Amino acid sequence: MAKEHEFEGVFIAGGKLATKAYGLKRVYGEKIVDGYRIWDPTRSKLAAYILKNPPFMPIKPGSTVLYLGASTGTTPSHVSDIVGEDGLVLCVEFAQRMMRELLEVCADRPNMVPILADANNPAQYDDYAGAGVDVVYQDVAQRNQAEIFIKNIKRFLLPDGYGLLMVKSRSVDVTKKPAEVYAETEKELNAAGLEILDKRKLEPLELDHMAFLVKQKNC
Amino acid sequence: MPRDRFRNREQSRDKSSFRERGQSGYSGPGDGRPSGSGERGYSGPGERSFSDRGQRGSGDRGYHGSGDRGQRSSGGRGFGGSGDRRPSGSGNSGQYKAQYGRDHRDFGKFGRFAKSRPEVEAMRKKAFLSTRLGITEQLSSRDALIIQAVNMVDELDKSLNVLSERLREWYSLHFPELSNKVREHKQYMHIASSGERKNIEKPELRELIEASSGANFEEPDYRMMQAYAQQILLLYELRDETAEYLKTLMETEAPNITSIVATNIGARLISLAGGIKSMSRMPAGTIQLLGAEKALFRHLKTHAKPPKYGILFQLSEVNSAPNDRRGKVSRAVAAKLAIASKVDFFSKKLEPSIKQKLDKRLQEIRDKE
Repeated sequence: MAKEHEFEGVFIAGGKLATKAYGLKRVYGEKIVDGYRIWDPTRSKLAAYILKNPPFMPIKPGSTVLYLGASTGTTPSHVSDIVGEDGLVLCVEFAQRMMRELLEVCADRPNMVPILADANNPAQYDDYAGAGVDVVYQDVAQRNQAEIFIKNIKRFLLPDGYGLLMVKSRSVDVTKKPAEVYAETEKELNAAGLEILDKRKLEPLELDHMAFLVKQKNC
Repeated sequence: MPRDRFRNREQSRDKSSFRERGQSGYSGPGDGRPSGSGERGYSGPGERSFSDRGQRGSGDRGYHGSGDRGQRSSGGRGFGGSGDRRPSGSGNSGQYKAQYGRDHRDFGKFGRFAKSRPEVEAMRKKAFLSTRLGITEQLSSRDALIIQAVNMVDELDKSLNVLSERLREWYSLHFPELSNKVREHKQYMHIASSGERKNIEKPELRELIEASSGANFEEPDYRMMQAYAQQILLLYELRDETAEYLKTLMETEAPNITSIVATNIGARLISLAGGIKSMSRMPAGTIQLLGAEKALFRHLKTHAKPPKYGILFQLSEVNSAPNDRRGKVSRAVAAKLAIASKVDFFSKKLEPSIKQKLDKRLQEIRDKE
């Protein structure tokens, strides 16, 4: 039987990380055990982060999450499971190829909203996220990841909200050492007035990735 | 590493023509709003207690309540209107900023996201509609046809080779001498489609047929080989038809690129770049190395020798040039391709001077020794 994880909305089913399936459909061929969808940490950076024992989990039941870089909806579907029907996941994705599949995932989940827009340009989805969000989660393979993250936080994150950034060092600069990229990212985040609450590498589950958990200072 | 690069490209490809809503539409509410509204949380239209300057209703921040207007004013693709009913910024944003230490665009100050089910439902409906429209818009560029066609030709070439090799082995049970005699696949299929070797109507093969050491089979055995030969032959025809189609496509969609490099190479470049639009935004150096990503990243990571050309190597001007001048030639071609792709993206008119100048330059390179 599924056990509760220390983080609300997250479970352990059959010894593996899982979320309570919101609707029983499979999204990406994952296993379903007693109504819990097994969450593969090698495919989802958020799952990898949870397995690394972070101090707390910003995404909770009822959260409104701005999800940047939703891709085909693998991780967003689990976020959707966690936030449940009182929560909302605003999925921003720019590539139509990914969006085509994301649409189908969103169609089955009343708490997911597909947004075809460029995260570089937050004004494009003011209409959806303009009222503020509890969590900005970002996983985009762009060179200016930190800049995008900061822009979106400034614009949409509620004062007591959190930002979770998955930095992929290879897409920032392949020629630099990951440690340098992380240091630069940290500097950028600090300079933007964000307080880094937690940072941890996702190795060995995801190579050359680091997660940053931030909140806004002076709020 | 090339994978990453491709992924980047995937995401940055085709910057959509998602209409960018100016900030001006949003500056109003934040600026003008009395600071007292900060703690209000989301409130429905009925709950708003103070008169909030003019007819500004509940809908000014976010999607709620403004559904109908939004639909009209932003052509169905956005939520919330683009603000004709909003007061223009009243100029005290500086004051606001001083008070809160943050920009007026921090909507969070004004309340949580609305979470009533019907509102979320309305928003989702809008989101689906505008996302579908956006996808359609992104899909309806004609360079996507070029990309698919050229990839199909490449795939067909690969598959036809595999299939032909297999049938050669098969038919050789019956007529082993033919395989060495006819090296060209298409011609071979043509002959094999006659079935049993005595039915082949080629006088020049008569001798070979009579002296063949191949086995004799039953009628159904020949029929199977014959059927495959015919189908493969049909596929060859389809391949040529596709190539022809690609040629016309390229001539109308990318006349300048096509004037500089052959249809196939041009189409492959477009495919690697992700479309004429993204190719037109590439610097010549990037175009020069399209298809050489592996070597490029190896160079960046390990300081190995940098590549001089990617897919451009297939161009006879490049691969027939002496080794020490290939880089120069491919650089010149790439530079003109960068210009050509811009002309193709913006006007689609043939500009003969590009090709002329390139030819002149190539001649210079050849003459210089």
